[in-house]
Amino acid sequence: MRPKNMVRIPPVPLSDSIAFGAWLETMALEGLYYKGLFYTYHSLQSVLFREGPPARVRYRIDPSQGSIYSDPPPGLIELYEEEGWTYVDSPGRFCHIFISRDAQAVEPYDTPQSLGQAMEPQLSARKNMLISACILFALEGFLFLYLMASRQRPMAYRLTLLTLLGLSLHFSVLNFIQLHRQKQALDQGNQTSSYSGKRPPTRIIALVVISLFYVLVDLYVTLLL
Amino acid sequence: MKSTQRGVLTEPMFYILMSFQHSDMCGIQITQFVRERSHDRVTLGPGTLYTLLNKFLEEGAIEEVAVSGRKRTYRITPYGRQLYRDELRRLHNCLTDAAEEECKTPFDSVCDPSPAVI
Repeated sequence: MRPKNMVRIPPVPLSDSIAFGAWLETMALEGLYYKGLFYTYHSLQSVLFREGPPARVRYRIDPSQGSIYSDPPPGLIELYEEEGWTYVDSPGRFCHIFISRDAQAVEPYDTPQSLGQAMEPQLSARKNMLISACILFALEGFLFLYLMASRQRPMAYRLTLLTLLGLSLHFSVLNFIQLHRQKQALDQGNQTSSYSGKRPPTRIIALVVISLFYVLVDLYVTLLL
Repeated sequence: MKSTQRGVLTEPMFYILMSFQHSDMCGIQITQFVRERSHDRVTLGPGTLYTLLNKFLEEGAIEEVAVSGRKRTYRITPYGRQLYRDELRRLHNCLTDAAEEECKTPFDSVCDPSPAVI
């Protein structure tokens, strides 16, 4: 009988790598093993699991270094495999997931500070994403205001675009702050997971609430002004 | 970049540069060398080692000399050797200072200012 595949919404985002790894380990104890991640822009993530015998395994998420958004460099896989880790996937291509069934396998990062150091390129990439999102939102916002000022009713697609850019900016800010805080904690020697058991997918709820907010603003601008 | 601008090397960094003193090394050889040389006191995780090798490559302390499949071999550069020697001198000075300070301790009947005592 073929093992079933199941989809779950992660309670923590992938950018919180320590917590995400802890969540994957919890799922493995329930017999669900990570297979892949549907990664849409920023927060919309869902994880595909494959059923298997429940077991205590270790998942570690290595932040991409050097060339961001690329496959894991062969040198990195070689080093991990030598220490008893198996490469699983590179979701979103900004990190690499490894699994080990060996409880004695050497921790990939022996100190929190070394993990913090490895996160530097990713933090820099997030910063660039944030700047891009700011610029796009500012440009679109300026155009939107210009159309309003010139008494032209903004077109629906422009409102949609502004909403999407607003969402993108919002999650860029959230992701950057989260990653920055995580790195600061690691630099101070604190490597604790923010994942403490099952939690409702708060990010999805937040996404719905924020989307509603933007839609209401759009409706207000379109219908009342 | 001069070593004075760079700051001190961390213990794993120091051991990695030490591993290159007599031959070119690949990642696995470095891990084994550090483990043996430090008598299992320093263990380099694969993530830490990869991060530090990348850092040394960026700084020009080591260079890649061969790629065979997944295996990458590195060589220390003159700048890397200088970094290692500077750190060695700094550590030696620290030990000498500490040994001299030990001699000032009252009621310390045995006093040998050589760093080896510590």
